[in-house]
Amino acid sequence: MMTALPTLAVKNGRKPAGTPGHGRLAAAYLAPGMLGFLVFIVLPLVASLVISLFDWPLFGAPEFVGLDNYARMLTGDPVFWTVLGNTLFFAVSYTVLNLVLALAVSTWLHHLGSWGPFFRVLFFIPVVTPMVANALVWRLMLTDDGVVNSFLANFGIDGPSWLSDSQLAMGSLIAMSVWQGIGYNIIVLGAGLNGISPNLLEAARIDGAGAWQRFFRVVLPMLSPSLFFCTVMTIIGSFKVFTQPYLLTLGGPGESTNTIVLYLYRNGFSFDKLGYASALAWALFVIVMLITALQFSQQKRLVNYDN
Amino acid sequence: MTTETLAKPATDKPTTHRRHSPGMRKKKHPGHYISRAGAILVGLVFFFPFLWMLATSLKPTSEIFSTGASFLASRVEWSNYVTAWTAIPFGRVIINSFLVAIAGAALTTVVSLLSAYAFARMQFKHRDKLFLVFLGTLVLPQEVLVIPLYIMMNKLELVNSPTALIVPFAFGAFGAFLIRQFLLSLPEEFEEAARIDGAGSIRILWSVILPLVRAHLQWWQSSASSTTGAASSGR
Repeated sequence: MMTALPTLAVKNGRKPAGTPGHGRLAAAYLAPGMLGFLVFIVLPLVASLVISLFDWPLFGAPEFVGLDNYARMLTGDPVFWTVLGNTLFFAVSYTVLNLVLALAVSTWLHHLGSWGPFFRVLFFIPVVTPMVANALVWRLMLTDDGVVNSFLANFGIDGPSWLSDSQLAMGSLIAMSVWQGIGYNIIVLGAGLNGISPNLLEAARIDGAGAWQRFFRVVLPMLSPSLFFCTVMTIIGSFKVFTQPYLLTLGGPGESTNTIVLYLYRNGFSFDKLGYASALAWALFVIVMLITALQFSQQKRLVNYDN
Repeated sequence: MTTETLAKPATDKPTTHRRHSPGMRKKKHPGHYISRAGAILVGLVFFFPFLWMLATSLKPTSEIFSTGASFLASRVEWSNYVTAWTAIPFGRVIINSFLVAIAGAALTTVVSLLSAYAFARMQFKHRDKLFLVFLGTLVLPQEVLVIPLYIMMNKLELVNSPTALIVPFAFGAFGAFLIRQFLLSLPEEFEEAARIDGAGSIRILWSVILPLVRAHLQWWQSSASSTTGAASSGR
């Protein structure tokens, strides 16, 4: 079997012309992964499309309704548009805040010398601690008489209702989410910053570039692959926001912090409408796919891959 | 480093100020201390919710909402920890989390390593197309799959079992993608040397590739198992 592996056959994943493949061996290696992929990803994906065409209760017989679920979602359900708007607002604000802050913090930590690694770990802690515990402690802190408002009261400021004021609740969610998620991007961008050769910055300095110029003209372009990766992953993640509204505000007050996934979850598991929930899931999938495709189509223009 | 030493006059030490602007010539610029003081302040604010979590865990239930900004209540309520341990089968719950995390990480690693090796080092028809489709599912929100998975687990009578938490989530593309990228950057000569010494492909994977990718795997596993923990407690 082993002799079937031609030496130097795949260098960096490129296939030299005329080399024989190793179909069977490859199939054996791929079998577990691809079988699981088919059963647990492809099959549910197709199944959810099928379910979305049915009126499908949790228990009881499903009934085929064609595109009714989609028609209802787009024309007969004002909550869907509210929820979609909330999710878009969250996604844009969260992504922009997260990336700008992560870029600033990782650049700062990069210059902090021996203290950098410690603070990088500190910022990463909320990423690895359970989201549920994080959300609960934030809820505790943001209640009307919580620690935040008590602290503000020391300065004579009458703190607002962070979680039950419809103007503020979404902002609180975004703040909590940025705190929760920023560490991941700090790590990725930090690794990107470490990958930039000091020689480049030195050359720019000799040519008379100031600190800001070096940052915008050298560091940022060199960092663009990491930034691109962070942007794509952060946007995808932000569309899936669920735990924060579920635990902090339950989507309220009113529908002001309800998001697609929370609405989907409720339709599926509280309102017993698995068909409608699947239609919502597909709407989410299509939106995320479109945005990701849009980003990748702009990749060549925005991202600098030449070293 | 060398360009820098060449470019600068010999009067200053290039190593200490490599990243600072040329204006900072003194050994410790005031900005240095401001930056560190700022780091401590920001770090404390950032870490505050965890301190508050700890403080709250030692307060009597009746005072949780009435203590305002004070870290301490009228007394330190250690019994909260006893209650947490006894009110729910805490030991059992922790063991469950460990079981799900460890089994999930182990399964994902084995599966991803095998797929990644095939995608990185082997030739077969439609390899790159298959990989692209596989990778494309990274974009897929798990929520799209949750309902069919729930129905599937229900039909298999696996709802409320650890299996339902471990197996369906072990086949994502992220691990395979990460290992494949790493393998592509790895010189193939290691494997060739092992092959010439008579090692089979499983042997190569176990004794050559695995030790080399271990560092990468650890990082990914630690984040993967922590998310597994979150996912299982969240659903």
